[in-house]
Amino acid sequence: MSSGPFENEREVENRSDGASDLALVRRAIKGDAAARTLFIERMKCVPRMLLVRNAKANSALRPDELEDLAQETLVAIWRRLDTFRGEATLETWACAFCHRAWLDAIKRKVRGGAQTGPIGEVVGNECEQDSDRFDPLYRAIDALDANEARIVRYKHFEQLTFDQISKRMDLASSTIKSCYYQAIERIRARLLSGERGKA
Amino acid sequence: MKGDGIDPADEFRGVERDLDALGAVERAMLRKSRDIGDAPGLDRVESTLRAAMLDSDFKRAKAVRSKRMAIVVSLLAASLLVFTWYRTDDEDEIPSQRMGEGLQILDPVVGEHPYARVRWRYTGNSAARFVVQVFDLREHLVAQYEAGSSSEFVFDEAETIQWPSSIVIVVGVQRPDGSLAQSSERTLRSRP
Repeated sequence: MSSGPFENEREVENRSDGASDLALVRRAIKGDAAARTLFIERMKCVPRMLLVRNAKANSALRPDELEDLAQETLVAIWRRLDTFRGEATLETWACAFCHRAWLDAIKRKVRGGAQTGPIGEVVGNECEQDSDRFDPLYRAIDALDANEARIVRYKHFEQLTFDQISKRMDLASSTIKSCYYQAIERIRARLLSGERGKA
Repeated sequence: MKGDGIDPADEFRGVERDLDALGAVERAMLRKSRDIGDAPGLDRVESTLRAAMLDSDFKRAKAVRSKRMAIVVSLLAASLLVFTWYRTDDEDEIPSQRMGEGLQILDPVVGEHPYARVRWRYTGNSAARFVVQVFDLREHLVAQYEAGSSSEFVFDEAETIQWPSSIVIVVGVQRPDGSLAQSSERTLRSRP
């Protein structure tokens, strides 16, 4: 279990939102010691999320592999921290990293022949499907502008209604809807162009 | 994609369904992870991130140093350029910079002994002032004269008798500060 000045991580997370996390991230990048300590505390969710994802796939990765993956993911998160736009909380943002990192690790493992046989095939197929389905989506969301991405995340990842999003972002509901449908159209167009590229 | 027989509204709903599915996966990961006490690598989160932070701090400091160095080098280069430009500008008053090209000592006049006078030709500024120096072959200064703005200098015969049998005569173009901008020299070996 985690220790240190932030015993109740959930409480810290619950108090956070994308905007305040963005401020935290900026301070951490600049070298603010307190912000960095808080950031480290918040990132303790990473090994846990990887464990959850791994458990869902019958623990396809061994604990030592999972430990290595946690380190790789943490380093990747830190290196890409400047791309955090405050669309969601840090944990939600990190969750996408964990999901993608785990899928990549499994793909590498299955393709490397380390996990063969029926279980390996099932896990490998599931991951290929997940990866094919979700990777382009992640990239399409990354390509949206910050407000559009925030609205999409609120709607589909946090399951907020347009009215709730409107209140949270302090924008008219009609503006939120308009932005949302524009974002979905952009995602659709990007996915389509990706498919054409593959074809 | 009407041409392909796919209804855009279906694609639209398809995107929304995929986003919902992705959201559900992430929500489940987040929710379940909160209830987990320990996980592989949890005890190494701090050391891993601290190391990554140190690494990025080091790289950033290095980048700042490189940037500063680039600025210093640029400033030095600019200073050198300005210095060279001003120097060139100064010397532009005297057109030829190459030794002997703008200034050339002429042969002694036929029938005259070599130490009688020295004549030169100068293609630069007509107001230029000249200095005549006489050295022995070991480069010791024997005599020095201000020649003014003329193109020849007549030596005092009584004085030349004291000079060694072989001398080097140097005629130089004088800058306003007294230094020599360029010069021409000639070795004379035969004494009258």
